[in-house]
Amino acid sequence: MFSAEELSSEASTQRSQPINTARPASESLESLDALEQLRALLLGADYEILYDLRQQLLDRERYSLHVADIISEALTLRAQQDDSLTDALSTTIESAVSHSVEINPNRLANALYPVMGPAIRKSIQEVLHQALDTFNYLLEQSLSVRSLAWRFDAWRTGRSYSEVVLLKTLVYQVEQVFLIHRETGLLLQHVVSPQAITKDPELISSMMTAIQDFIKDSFNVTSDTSLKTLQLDEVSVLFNQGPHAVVAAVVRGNPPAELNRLLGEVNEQLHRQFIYALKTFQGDGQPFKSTQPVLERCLKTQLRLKKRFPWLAILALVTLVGAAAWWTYQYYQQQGLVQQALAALRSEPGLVVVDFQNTQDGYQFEVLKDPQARDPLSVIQPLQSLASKVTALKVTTKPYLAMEPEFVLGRAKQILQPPAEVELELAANTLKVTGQSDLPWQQKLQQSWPLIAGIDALDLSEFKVEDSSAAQFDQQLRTLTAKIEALRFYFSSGSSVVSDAQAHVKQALPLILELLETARSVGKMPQVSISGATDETGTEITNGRLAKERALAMRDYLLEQGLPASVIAIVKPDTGLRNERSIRYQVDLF
Amino acid sequence: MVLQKKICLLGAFSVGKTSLIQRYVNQLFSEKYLTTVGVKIDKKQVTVGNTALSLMVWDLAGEDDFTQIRSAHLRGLSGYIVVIDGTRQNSFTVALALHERVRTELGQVPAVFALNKSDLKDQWLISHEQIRTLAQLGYPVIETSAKLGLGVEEVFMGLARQLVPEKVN
Repeated sequence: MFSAEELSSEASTQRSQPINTARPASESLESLDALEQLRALLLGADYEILYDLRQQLLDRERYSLHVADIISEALTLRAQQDDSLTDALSTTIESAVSHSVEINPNRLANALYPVMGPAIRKSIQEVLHQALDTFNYLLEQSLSVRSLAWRFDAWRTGRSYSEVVLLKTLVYQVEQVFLIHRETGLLLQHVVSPQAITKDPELISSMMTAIQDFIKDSFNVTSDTSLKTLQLDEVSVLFNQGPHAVVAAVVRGNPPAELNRLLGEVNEQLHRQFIYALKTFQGDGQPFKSTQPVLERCLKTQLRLKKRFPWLAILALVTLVGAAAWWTYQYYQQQGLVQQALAALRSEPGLVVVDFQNTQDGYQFEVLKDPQARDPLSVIQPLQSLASKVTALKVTTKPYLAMEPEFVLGRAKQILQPPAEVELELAANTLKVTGQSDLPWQQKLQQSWPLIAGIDALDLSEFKVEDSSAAQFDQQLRTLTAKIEALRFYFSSGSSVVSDAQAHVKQALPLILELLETARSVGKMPQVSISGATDETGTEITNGRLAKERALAMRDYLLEQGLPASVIAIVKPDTGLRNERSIRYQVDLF
Repeated sequence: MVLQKKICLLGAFSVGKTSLIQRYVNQLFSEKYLTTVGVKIDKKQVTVGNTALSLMVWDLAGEDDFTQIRSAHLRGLSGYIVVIDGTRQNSFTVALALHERVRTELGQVPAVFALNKSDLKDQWLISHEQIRTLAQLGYPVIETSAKLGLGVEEVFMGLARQLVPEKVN
């Protein structure tokens, strides 16, 4: 039986000699040289078989067909023997997948689509489960009675709490894994668990090698054996020696037997994958970077904690969810009330909400308020009792003038204060006044309406002014006139001397002065004339002169008593009176 | 790229190997390792051209009548420094013996000879003839003084330059 290489080598040897590859067996022996004859004699029919086999190996197409027949069986058989096929194919498959994704990502996406959903769900489920466990673990670490006891232990022994927890709960933890080149003791790769503290791994790697050599030399052990374990207190170092590399794991706690098996598997895998790099190692650690994921498989941790139902985490989560739900309910309640208050304020005439915000003291509404409008607090009063449970509703107001017709009209009524007989209406910014009033109100209307905001014009088409005061004054003047003209003052016979006139003056003077004031108030000027009279004795001339002297005497007397001279206009004789020694008054108004 | 290389410091007892590297390397382990395990490993990082070298310096306990350097410690070394105490004739003999031993066990390996204690040169007992003999071996011979810090960097660099492959450098 020949191997493929041997046959190929033979073929290449023969290729240097001129062989007629198209030569059939039927060609005559005469044309063959001596060597050919000898070969034919020695091998006979086998030569043809071997020749055909060689041709099959040299012909790529035929060889491929032959390999294609057996390749599946060969792969299956090798996969059953060890993992080398996986290692050998993994790089190729990774490259092929990357290449496929680069060329057409949809193809791989479509292929993965049916499994992506379940995978993602499972992954999320797993992550949530782990998160719940971690959360529960943290709660137990911080809240449980056991954790308090551990804290007490830590305080009592002077250790850190994490150390005590580790001692109490840890079965074992692989803190570091070294991949060491066996011959040189140089570090090829190093992985470390997140919690572990490590020093210079290159130095430690070399020193561990030196210590192994030291032990081997010191105790004359056979050269094919090697150090398996170093142990000091709770820390041990497990070694797995391969032909070219050593995997060393630094373990805290009690490592199980499975860990040694795992180190062996990992070392074997690394030898299979990196055998060439290990054999030709010259100090360059670059090719061994990709060993990191494989070594990380060894970073195992096992805790003593039993798997328990995470009631603490569930309780905390339920509390959190409950609190969140309560907060949400309160929030929506509060928002609802605020919106209701806002709507109430906005719908109230004369109020304008310019801003509202949530402050530490509650919701604060900033409102512009017309003096005619309702108090905003009374508007939201019905909501205050409900709101007090969730938040406070507060209002700050600033004055403003509303331009709505009802407010303009209200403002007009407040300013003008119309009498009962007058009605005010507003239409298109025009104030219509209906009814009648006295003059003063009319004057007030004329003066005030231009000052009322929102009124552009005044309609007085249905408004009348009733001047009752003038009639009253007339009446008053008439009364005073009658009273004054009814007054008489009598003289002695033949005399024009005014004597004992105090009572007359006391009566006459106030009447005349009141007349003067009243007449002036209506723009008139009174004139009081005094005329004298006599009895029938004596001559007409004498009587005439006496009558005039009597009127003059009274005039002078009244002037002395304080009557303004302008009121006493003239003195004329009394023609209507007979046989009466007196004077009388006559009132004229101008 | 950082190349790791294992190098050893060889020499007779008390020639100054430890002192030689004391101030020039990253130390993690205490000197007691030398007496207990027989070796203390330190790290020295140097750059030759474009190549960074991480030298793992195995400081082996000095060889004398009672102590033998362990062969296992020499395995896999890329180069070595043989330290000679110029004031002690015996250290020269031990150095040549050690050099010969390494050559026998590992073949031709880069090396540097360090003639230490150059600050006491007036007390040197090693002759010029012996120094010439060393130089004829074909390795760099560098005078050093651990006390004054002279020549130490040159020793490490002299070895490092031999460790970097031509094509890399």
